[in-house]
Amino acid sequence: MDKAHELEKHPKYGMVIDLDKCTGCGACTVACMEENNIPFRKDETNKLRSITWLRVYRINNGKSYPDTEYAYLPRPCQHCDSHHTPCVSVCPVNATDKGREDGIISQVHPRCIGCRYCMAACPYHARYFNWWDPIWPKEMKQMLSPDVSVRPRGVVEKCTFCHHRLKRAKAQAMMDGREEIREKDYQTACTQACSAGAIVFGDLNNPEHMVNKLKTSPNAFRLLEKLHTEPKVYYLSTKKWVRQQADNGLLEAHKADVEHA
Amino acid sequence: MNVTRRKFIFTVAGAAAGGLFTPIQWKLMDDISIWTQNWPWTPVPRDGAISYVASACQLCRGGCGIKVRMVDDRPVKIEANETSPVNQGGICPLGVAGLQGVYDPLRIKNPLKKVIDIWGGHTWQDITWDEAVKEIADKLDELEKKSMSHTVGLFTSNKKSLTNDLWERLLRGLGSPNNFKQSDAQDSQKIALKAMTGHDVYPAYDLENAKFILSFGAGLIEGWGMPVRSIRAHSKWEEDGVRLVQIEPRGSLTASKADEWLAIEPGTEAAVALSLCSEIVRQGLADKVVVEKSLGFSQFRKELLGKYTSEKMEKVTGIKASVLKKLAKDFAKAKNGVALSGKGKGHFPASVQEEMAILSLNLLTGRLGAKGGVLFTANHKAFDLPEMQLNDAVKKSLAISRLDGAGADSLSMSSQANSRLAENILSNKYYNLNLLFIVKANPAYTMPDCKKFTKAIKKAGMVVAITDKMDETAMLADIVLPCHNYLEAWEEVQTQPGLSYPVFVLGKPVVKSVNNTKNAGDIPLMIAKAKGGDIASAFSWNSFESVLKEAVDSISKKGSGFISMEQGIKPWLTPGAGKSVKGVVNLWKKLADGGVWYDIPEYTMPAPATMSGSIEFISQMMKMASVDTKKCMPGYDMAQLSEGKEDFPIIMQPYQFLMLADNNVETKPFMIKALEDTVLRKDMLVAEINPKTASQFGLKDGDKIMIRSAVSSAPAMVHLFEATRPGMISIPLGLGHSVANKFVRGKGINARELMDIKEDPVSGMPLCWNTRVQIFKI
Repeated sequence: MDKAHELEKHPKYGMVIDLDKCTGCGACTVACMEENNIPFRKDETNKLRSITWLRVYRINNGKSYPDTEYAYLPRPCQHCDSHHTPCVSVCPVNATDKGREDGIISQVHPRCIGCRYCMAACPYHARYFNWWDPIWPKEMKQMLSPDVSVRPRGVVEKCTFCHHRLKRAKAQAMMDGREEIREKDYQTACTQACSAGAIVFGDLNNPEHMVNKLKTSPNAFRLLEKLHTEPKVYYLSTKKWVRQQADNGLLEAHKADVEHA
Repeated sequence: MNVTRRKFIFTVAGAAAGGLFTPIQWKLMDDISIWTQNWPWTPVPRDGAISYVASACQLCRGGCGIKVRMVDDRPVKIEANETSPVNQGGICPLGVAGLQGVYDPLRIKNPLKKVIDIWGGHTWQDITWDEAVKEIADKLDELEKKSMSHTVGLFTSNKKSLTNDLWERLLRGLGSPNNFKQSDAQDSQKIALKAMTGHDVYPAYDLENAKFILSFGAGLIEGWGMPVRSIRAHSKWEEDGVRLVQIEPRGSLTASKADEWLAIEPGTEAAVALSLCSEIVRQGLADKVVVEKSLGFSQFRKELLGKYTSEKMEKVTGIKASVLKKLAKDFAKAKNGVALSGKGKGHFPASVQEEMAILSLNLLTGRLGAKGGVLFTANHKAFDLPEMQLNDAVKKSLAISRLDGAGADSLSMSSQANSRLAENILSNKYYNLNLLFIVKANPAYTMPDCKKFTKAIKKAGMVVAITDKMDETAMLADIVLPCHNYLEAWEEVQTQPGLSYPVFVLGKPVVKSVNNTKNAGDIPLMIAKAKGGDIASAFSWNSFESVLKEAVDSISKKGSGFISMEQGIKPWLTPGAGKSVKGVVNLWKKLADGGVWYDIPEYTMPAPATMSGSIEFISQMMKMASVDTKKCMPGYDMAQLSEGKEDFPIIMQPYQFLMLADNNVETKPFMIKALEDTVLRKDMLVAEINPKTASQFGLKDGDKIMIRSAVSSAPAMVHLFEATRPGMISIPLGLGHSVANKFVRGKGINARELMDIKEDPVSGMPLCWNTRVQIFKI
């Protein structure tokens, strides 16, 4: 592929998360909440109704003491890249769409009618419904960021790969007279906060970006690959039991079957 | 009018067709959807110009550089400052959520005075700063007249800071020896290092260069040491294939990430360390210099080869002798290995003998002063306040023994003896505290057996709490002085214990204080001025800011070190990549702009400063302090946990992680929200139990239980978790606040209430990592 052709190709933003490095500290989750004006309630222990665009799951190898091992798996929206993105294809009002220039699955809150069809369709539980009015203590309203609008009760929301940061980076590039968005210009809040350096973000199509190399690692995998949703979030782990949990070991079993046959 | 069938059909069809063409219903639908999303109670954040202000995080001892995103004059987000070599662009959940502390509804607006009403309850009355300071100065005068200045107490956080230095100076100037801090693992490590090498400094660990980590329960990626620094070091270990061996009973996350996890019997860390020492000596792998030139080695060797052989320790620790043998060999032969202690986040002291055993591992393998090993941080203090002139009355008063008995008789090795403090106050052993300052600390929540400590605080005459928001301790106070939040104040970060290279980060005000608050470092200056006399002249600074400027000046004058103004500076790798301080014209300005001062690690082992002039395996200093000879050397106390086995069959261990802050800074609403439901369900704390133990007690997941220890009892919910050792129960630390905003208050229990303190005979520090408890279903 020649250089000119390469440039014509649109960026495809994605993420690679190294689960061996991830310490489950949750700085990513909290950074996401602060960046995206995510509300909080007195009781958030019902995890099905607690809005966490990026949720950190604890997974374990199912063995008994002292062979037990566990790990953490941060799960943002997987930003499925297939032509048949589950949520986009079911939304009756075009409130969610796949960006043609960046591959980001957007969520247009004013359009959303709260039917929650997308939530049912999403195989990753990445979408959340606003069951309650977002209410902040009077003092804490001061810390709301103007970059992201506050969502009212009755709409669905989810991770946007901090799309507002991309817009800002584009505006900056324009002002600087640059064509391209450099890797460091656009990073999501979670990536930035990750102390372990476990989350890496960038353009999957750009060979100069780190994610482009990392996603080809033999230890890379995606969640529920057999659904062919083609997530743009990759995970890395050297541990087999971690990789197997991506689809309950189905893919590997399938491969073994094929080889056997 | 005659309605024919034809007319009727025309009308209906016409209306239907017309309806399709008119935009009214589309407009209405659009409007409804807009109306239903524009409730007046859904806030619309105010827009403005974006800027970043660099500062320093003060929420723990992590020493992270931060930068705060501002929208006009409003901070909206905390991010990491990439120029800081400590956190290198990383940040922890508490660091991010710290902003919620600035905007906490429980921030105190004015100095408060407690007024007891006729019903025995109390109300808080706003008073002015002048009134508050005058009341304190009057009390100090009264105590001075009665020659009772020694009954003034001070409780500070255990952070190394100029603010604490000033408060301690105030106390010393008044003539009281009673400055208290909560001891942690590093304090017990310090005593062990002092006993064996004679150097009274905190040991520092060259984590970044270490190639083999032997961790005795240290939650290296769960908040141990300087949390972000440790996590970054761990990522480097992952990349470089550094071997990490975790030795602890609970399968912590660090254990899961480790290359090897030795699941030991609870409380046998020292036994493992000694058996490894024994194998190193037996296999002839010990450092020759240490073996030949140290005091008491032959006796230690005898103990090792007799009492602590790997075969004998197999029964105690539950780890096979063959595993111990191989591990000892690997560790001794590894390049740049280090043994680390400090369980969990390292907030709890261990017994000095245990610390000596782990230090012996480092000593026997020659890791002191070596790359990747244990370094000496003696010279890392940024600035010493000038000496004070003390008059005879003050000197006499200072000579009175401390309330906790630390620094005298058998406790002469330690500067704090937390385990006796509450008891001595409550039993009126020596004298009562007539005035107690509690500065940016929350001992009523953070002290082990905190219920007892709460009673002790209540007994003190006048309690003055200096805090930025209401907490458990401030509720007990008679006067509450509101100080700035860290984002409102000038405040520095110095080299904290454990860091292998010196740093100095300047925290500057990011937001203007909205309340009538003062810098916590300004308050001792105000009190000294109001008191007048000698003490006023010892506090001649105008403000805390000028003390800080003097400190920066002194760094600048020393001329050593560098300034990091760019990303990716690694003092342990590329010394001097930053700008040399000599070239820096205005260090203050550079620091205020987000630069970080640092120096390079010192890889030298200073000559032992013990009485014998050599490394001591039998500490002469401890012997002098009339400690039992058997306890003057590294050892393991077999009887430690067997007591009370019949009544309390289960061993409770706390566990810690970064989503729960468990020190004087409390967890923030965002973090409570992010907790898993294996930590908190509704308002119930969830305790982890191994399924085997649960079935013994007839418990299943989700059952409610009562946990009872010798000192207290508390409810919890059962979560079956395979990584918990059978016979144990693990409790998350950092919940159970009774005074906090509504998102944090009344959730779960504070495990410290349950802790049954055992005193370490050498240091007087409380040992409470393991507590025997009983559980029953409710």
